Amino acid sequence: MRTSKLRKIKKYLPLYLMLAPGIIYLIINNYMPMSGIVVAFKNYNYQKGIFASPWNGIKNFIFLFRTNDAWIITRNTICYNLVFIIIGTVVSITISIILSELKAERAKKAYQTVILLPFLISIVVVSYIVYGFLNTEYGNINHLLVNAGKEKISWYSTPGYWPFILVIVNLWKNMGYNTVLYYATLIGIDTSYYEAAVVDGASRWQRIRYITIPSLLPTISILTLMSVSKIFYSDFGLFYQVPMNSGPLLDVTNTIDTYVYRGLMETSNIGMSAAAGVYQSIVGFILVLLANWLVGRFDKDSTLF
Amino acid sequence: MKRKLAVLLAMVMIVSVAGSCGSDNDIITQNNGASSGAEQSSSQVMSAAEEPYVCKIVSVGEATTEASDEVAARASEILMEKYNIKIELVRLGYGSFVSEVNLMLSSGEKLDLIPSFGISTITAANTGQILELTDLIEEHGSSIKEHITEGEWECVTFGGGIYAVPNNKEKAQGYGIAMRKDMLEAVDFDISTVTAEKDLEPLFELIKEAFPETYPLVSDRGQMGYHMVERDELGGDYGVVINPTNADRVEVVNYFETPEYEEVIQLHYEWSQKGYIIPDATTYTEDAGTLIGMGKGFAYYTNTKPGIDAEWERKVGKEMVVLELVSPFKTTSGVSNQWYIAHQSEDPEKAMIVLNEIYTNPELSDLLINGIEGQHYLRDEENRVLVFPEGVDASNTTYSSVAWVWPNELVSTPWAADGADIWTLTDEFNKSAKEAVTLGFVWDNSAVLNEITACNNVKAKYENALNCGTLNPDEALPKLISELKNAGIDVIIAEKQKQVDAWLANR
Repeated sequence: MRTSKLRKIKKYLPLYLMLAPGIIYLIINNYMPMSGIVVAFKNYNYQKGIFASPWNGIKNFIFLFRTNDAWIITRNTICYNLVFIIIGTVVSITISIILSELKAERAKKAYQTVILLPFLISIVVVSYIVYGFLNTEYGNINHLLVNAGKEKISWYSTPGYWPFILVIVNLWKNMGYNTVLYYATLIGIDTSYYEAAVVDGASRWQRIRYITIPSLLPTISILTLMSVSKIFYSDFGLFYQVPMNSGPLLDVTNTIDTYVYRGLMETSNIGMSAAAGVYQSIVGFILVLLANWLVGRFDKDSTLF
Repeated sequence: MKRKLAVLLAMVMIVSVAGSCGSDNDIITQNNGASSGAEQSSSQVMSAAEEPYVCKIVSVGEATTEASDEVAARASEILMEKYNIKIELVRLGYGSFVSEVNLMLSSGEKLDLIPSFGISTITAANTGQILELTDLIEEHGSSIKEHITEGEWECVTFGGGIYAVPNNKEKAQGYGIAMRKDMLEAVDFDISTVTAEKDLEPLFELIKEAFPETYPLVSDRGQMGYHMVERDELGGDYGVVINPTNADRVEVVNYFETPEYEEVIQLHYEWSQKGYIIPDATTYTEDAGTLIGMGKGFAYYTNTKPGIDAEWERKVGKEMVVLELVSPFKTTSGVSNQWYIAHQSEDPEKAMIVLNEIYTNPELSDLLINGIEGQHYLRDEENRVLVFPEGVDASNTTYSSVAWVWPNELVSTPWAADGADIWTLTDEFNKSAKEAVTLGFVWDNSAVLNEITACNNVKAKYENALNCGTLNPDEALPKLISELKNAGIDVIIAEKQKQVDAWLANR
């Protein structure tokens, strides 16, 4: 018994060693500081530090639920994330399938690079690119509108357009990353399946529907589950920088992260900001467990854990 | 063979990770070692009975590390002679100062003296970021006491303890408008007809006609917050007193509900419709000085004090005229530039000694404010001012001069652009400004933090857009007021009124 266990460890030793740096980093960066969560329940005093500061109960959480605004931000955060997940997944899969159907190798590489590029651009730079389009006086879009005989639109003062603008910007920026992930799974699918389907007389659409998509299902489910755990988080740059921090747009662009930033920048209350973070993490955690269990009811292989 | 190679590679990975963790620390200790090593050699000449105390000062303003180190070394020479104390000086940029100092305060790294730039004194006192100074000032701050009045000490006293040392500088403010002198003289307009903000309209019309590419009014980093209304913000966080120099009533009101506020934003909305305000004003990130210098703007609002036109000229690069619309008055916020001793200071007594010395020693203040003579400035003995050396100016100097941040600018030598008498003028200005009834009142916001957080988000929706004339006040102002009420602004105002009444009763 012992010798076989030892032999097993010896056999997998290189793998354990490769795992070691990542695990040590995870422990130091994610697990050791976990005890600091208590600061969300305390009235933080710099001289006493986190653990000796006086307790505050759940007072730090109240500001997240008190006002109408607080529910607006929760609604915004969840809705945007749901739309991002659904549209992002559909578009990424579509593009990756199209990519895989391309015949020319060089074309494939070129397209992949071009699609991935926006992902690497800083969101602040992106916000100025958007500004170049949407500026009232000099922006490209208003230029086109005026040439077509229409009125200029003051984009940064009209909330109605922004859900669409933000979805488009987010898609443009992040689609490349997911596309590459799905593409990597796609090229791993055994070509003999496709050959057999062609022999059986399946059309292109039927091949996609019965072979490609089911093979992608594990990847889709893992990526979606991971996104669900982040459903209460938002890309701060996307929601703060891209709308140029414009006041009138706040009802449709304010998320939990930007709300906390705007509310606490001046009072710099550590306990309250920590409370917001705890709120986001706990909800995300519960949702991931729920979603994972749900997925497990349909297909055991697609679950995350 | 392959297995051994795999194990070897894995070990290399682990060691490199562990090694990189270690070398970070080494870099920090190397830096400390380098700076103390340089000072060791000079201190061996003056052998002290005990180890000299290193007092770390973190201030704000652009400066290179080399320039700051040189200034620190020279300052150390002065202080070593008298008190056996050395100085370490770090200057942080305006944008990152608050977050970096907050980090320093929470990490507990070595830190002694910091200015109050962007930090609320009462919040810092309540959360234990800074030390109480009452006894320290008694023992080691004798010269400081000579320059600060009772009323000014009140502004930094909470719960019976003094927590900050106010800077000696202009302690009052008026409000006005700064305009491009060349454009003003090109149009035919009599400035003396302007006594209130709305009188500027005919001038803006003339400017718009004469200079079609220029907008009469611009925003400052997307904001237009200076209102030509005399008011005491009572420490911020909503609730102001209008015309506080009038002793009759001390009523704390919601500024957004006052007729004065409505007048201002109606005016700005009309001007924006007429094209007098730069479009998309809220999205600009440049400051007004840059926009005016580029010719995109003609004027922007400002505070007024002796030397304000020279200050604007430095910002814009062209001659400016400042017209005062609200005469100067003194409130607690006038003494809002202060210095603190950080809670983690290893020897607060020595820190206070340094602060006291900076307050009184012209040589030391000149050094810390202006840099090294010959490198960053030259002394014009005849005119008793400072000038830039050949090839150096405000944009390329390695040690920027930001006098108002340091404890006592009045004891330093002024620059040629301000004139030799600026400090005398400032002193007179301080003494002649009308005092608000509420001077000395300090507001403690710890009971209403939730309401303030909610109100801040409502304010963020409307404030800038209303100030810059982007939103129609007829629709937006009622919404702003009702949303603020939902957020709990009346609770904040009631709390503030309670504190003001208690403070008045105690006098």
